Amino acid sequence: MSLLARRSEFFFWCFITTIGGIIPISVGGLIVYLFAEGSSIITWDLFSRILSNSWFPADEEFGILPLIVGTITSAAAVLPLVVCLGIPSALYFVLFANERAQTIFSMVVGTLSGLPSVVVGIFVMEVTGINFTSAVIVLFLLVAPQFILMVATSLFQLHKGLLISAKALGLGDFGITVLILRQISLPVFGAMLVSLGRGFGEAVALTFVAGNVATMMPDWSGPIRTLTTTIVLELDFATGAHYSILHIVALSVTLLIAVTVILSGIFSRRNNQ
Amino acid sequence: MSIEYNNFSLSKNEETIISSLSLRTASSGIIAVMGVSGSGKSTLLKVTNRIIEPGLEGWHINGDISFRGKSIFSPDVKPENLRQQIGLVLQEPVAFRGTMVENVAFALRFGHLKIKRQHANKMAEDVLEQVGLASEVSDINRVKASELSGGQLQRLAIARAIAIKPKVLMMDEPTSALDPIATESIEQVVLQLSDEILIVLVTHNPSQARRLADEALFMEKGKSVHGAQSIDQLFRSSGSKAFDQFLSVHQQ
Amino acid sequence: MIRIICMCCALLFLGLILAIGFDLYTEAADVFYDGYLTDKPSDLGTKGGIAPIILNTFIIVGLAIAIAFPFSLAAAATYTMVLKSQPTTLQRLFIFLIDLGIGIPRIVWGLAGAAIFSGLFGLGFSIISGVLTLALLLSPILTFGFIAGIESLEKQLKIQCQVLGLTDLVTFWMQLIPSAKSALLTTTLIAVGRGFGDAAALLFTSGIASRIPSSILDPAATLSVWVFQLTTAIPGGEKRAFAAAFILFTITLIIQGCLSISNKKRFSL
Repeated sequence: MSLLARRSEFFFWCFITTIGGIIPISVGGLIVYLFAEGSSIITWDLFSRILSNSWFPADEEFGILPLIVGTITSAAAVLPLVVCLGIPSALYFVLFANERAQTIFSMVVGTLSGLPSVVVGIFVMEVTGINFTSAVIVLFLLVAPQFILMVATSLFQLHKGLLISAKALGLGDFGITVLILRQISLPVFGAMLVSLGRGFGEAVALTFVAGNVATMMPDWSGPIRTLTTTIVLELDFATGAHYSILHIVALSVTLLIAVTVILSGIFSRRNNQ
Repeated sequence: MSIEYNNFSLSKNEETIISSLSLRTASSGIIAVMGVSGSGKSTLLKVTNRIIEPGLEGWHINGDISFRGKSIFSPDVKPENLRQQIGLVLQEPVAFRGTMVENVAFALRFGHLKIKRQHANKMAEDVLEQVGLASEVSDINRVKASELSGGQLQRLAIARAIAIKPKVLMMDEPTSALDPIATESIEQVVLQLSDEILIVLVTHNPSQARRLADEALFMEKGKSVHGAQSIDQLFRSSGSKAFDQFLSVHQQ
Repeated sequence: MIRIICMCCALLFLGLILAIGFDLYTEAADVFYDGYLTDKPSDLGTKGGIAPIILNTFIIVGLAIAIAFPFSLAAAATYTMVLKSQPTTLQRLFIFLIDLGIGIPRIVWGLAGAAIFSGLFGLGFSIISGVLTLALLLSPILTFGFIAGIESLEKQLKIQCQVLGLTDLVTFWMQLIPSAKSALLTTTLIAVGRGFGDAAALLFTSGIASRIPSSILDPAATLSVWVFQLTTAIPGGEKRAFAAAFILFTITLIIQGCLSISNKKRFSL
């Protein structure tokens, strides 16, 4: 209603909205494109084959389940590591470190979070070889820094008086830590969801270390294939049905990530109430 | 330039905030709006200059508010123009980046008056003089607005608002966070201004209302309890328990 | 006791970053020579320098940011000024799409970019194809950061401008943006870092050529793409991959340094 009243600037804001709308529309357009290309060659027969257990495109076997298993298990395996090492680090950063330590730590975490995935991939590949364990380490290096930053942000947003009230009640380090952890449990859960999504989406670094076999039962010293590494490795030479199926692979990983985005959105809204 | 509320009601998402307010203000002078927290005083100000816009975010209105004979909600009234005529000083004003003069001159230069910089700066200096800030700081062209004390910032906000020459100035509890000396200087400014324009003063302090206002209005849970009466009438004939309570709690 | 546990976790990360830097350097040490940064590569990249690659990287990332920035600013303006006065479902949809856009894997952008820009528009492996794909990829990041920066300004600043009768344009351009300048800069630097680090989106759009390009229709490899190529496709290329990775590592450190300078946050609780 007030949009109409702003008649002099109406056209200007129409213009801005058109330009600004391009970005969210392009995200939507991407999903539409993936769906369109992927479903263009779908038949019932192909569809049931997609749900099968083995991915071997050379033999027209397009089962994406092992890829999904690979994606989910590698991200899920990394999450406990990230949480158990990340939360104490964030606590140290916000509560226990002096100013110089804080500056150093913020540079360390900042650099780690900005490291290109190729750099992380090449490092881990050289140090621990090509297997599932390496994949977990790679994901850890890529996901943990952002997790720490998110937890630290929610710590900073805590009410300033909380720490003082806690100390006034005679609580020591342990008590204060427990109190704070309970306060931020919701945002931390949201951060975990975001980190999970990030783990789903990693492609290049995993390609360095993940080996080339798609399996339904990953083990720590064996190779692993995920939805994303599959696209990286096979896009070059995929043709015909294979090419379209890769779009379905892309759509699947995007769907997984969309779920984490929706869930973390729900959590942040519940946190704000 | 009076404001007329015609059986005006305001609700948000089915919850009534203001109900059936009928009132015609004077064209100048001071009308005090009193009430406890949550009675709808600030909301009344914000809907009068359409910061709260009916139809958006769940706000609905019944009845009308008119200014200079015309409904403020009619489609050919632009909110920006309305706000230039009905000004509002927030309870906690926000300083713009820059010096005191730049703060006051900003709306003159970039509002719809579009006054040139030199002229705007001169007008700003005059207004800062009028509210008594010019003599209190070393150089109003150098001192940054962020360096001012609470009372000085409040007067800067008043200067900013009156520089664009509104016909009505609404003020939301301008002195509630200030010490008595700062309060006194603001009250002086308000009295001065009331000779020419209408001041709508929201306050939770009945003594302040008594000191300054010509008329008063008491709001309780969105309803106005006494209608606009002269300030003495209001204090004498308190037929409302709520108002008595209000008085006894807030009497200083 | 708790302090010590937390400090140990923090030290772990410090150790990791040092280990990465050290390892990369030692692996790559014999590759570096005086002209490494200024010579062209030869023998498929197993000899010589990486000057063209560095040039390509700056060109592609620079152009992508230059394109993404105005669009993202417009998107932030749309959200904070226009959508705010519309029903909340539109707002939520907008933010959802932006959040999703941030989370979409870079390889998926690369897949789409290759199909649409390289394929449909017929641009093939070219700088412009990579630039457009990278710009699309970086835009949600920029938009989100801009919106967050504007919303973290004093909430009343917007209302303060409105009550003075200032229009939305003046409010946005002359008050909100100048006050959010440091947040805008920080976001842009972060996006630049992501751009430098991107291999997946560019691999299939701007290609793997290591010559100096003569136009934006030529293919060009960036540092990250080059590292990938050397490791996976060129025999005997690992050492040089480490060298390029070390350069990337250094660039990340520099960007982080700039961030720390421009972002003097107060760290107290």
